Amino acid sequence: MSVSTTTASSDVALIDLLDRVIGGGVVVSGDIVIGIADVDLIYLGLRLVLAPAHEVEDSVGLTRRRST
Amino acid sequence: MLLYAVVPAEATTPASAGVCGRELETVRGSEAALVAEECQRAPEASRPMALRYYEIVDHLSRSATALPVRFPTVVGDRDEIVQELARRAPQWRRRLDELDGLAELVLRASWPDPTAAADAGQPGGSAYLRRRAAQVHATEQVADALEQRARQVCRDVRRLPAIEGVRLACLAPRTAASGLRRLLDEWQQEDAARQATLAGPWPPFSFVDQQEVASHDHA
Repeated sequence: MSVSTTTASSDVALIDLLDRVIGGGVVVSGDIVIGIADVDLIYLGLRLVLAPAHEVEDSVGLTRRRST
Repeated sequence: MLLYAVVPAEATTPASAGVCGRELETVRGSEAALVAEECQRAPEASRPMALRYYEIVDHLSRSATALPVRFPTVVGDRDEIVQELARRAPQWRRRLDELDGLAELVLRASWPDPTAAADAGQPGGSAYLRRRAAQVHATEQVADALEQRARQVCRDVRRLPAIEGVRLACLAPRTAASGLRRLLDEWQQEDAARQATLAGPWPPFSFVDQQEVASHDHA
């Protein structure tokens, strides 16, 4: 099967794209408001960044390994 | 203000509305500029918003070299943008010059796990650890081989986290996509069970902070 015609490749591409949009790019100190349905739940003065779950999990894993 | 991308100070940015529905603004420093949008509130960090954000950044990157800003990053006002530019513009400008004409492609590759069937009848911790070690070893080998192939067309390659298989980000001219696709096709044809996908080209989200890019042109 050709790479360009792999089944569901567009879904995979979309996942990779979203992963890069929130996990890549220039990091600038800023703010973020986390809210649901137009209700602000928490306001964060940022040195914190939104990251893909697997990167967070990896970070936690590293922390555990270092602590043992 | 929601930040979209860093562009060269002299860049002409296209008129475009942002995710909050307002016209994008370009705040210029001495060497670099930040494209931003005045938003009354921070945008929802949702999938549709992230995709819309990407479309805007991609549109920007087709008219000027752009370093995309991680979504969603919001600063208080223009003064904060000016301060950030004063602090980081020289570093950003160097990177913009290095990335001129280059885009990001992401390739994913997976293959059958030969150790799974071999150890299927051997439950227990030791068998699991042996299988896991073999998986890690196999993944490293495939990642090395694919990275070596990718470097035939990519100026730079970065490994991205992957739950299964291998994921690589490739920095290359947009026109290099067909060459990389051909290399992946060849890899895939060596074993019918192999799977590979190629995504992009996108603005270089994974390469904004790299300091060195090979100057030779493989394209």
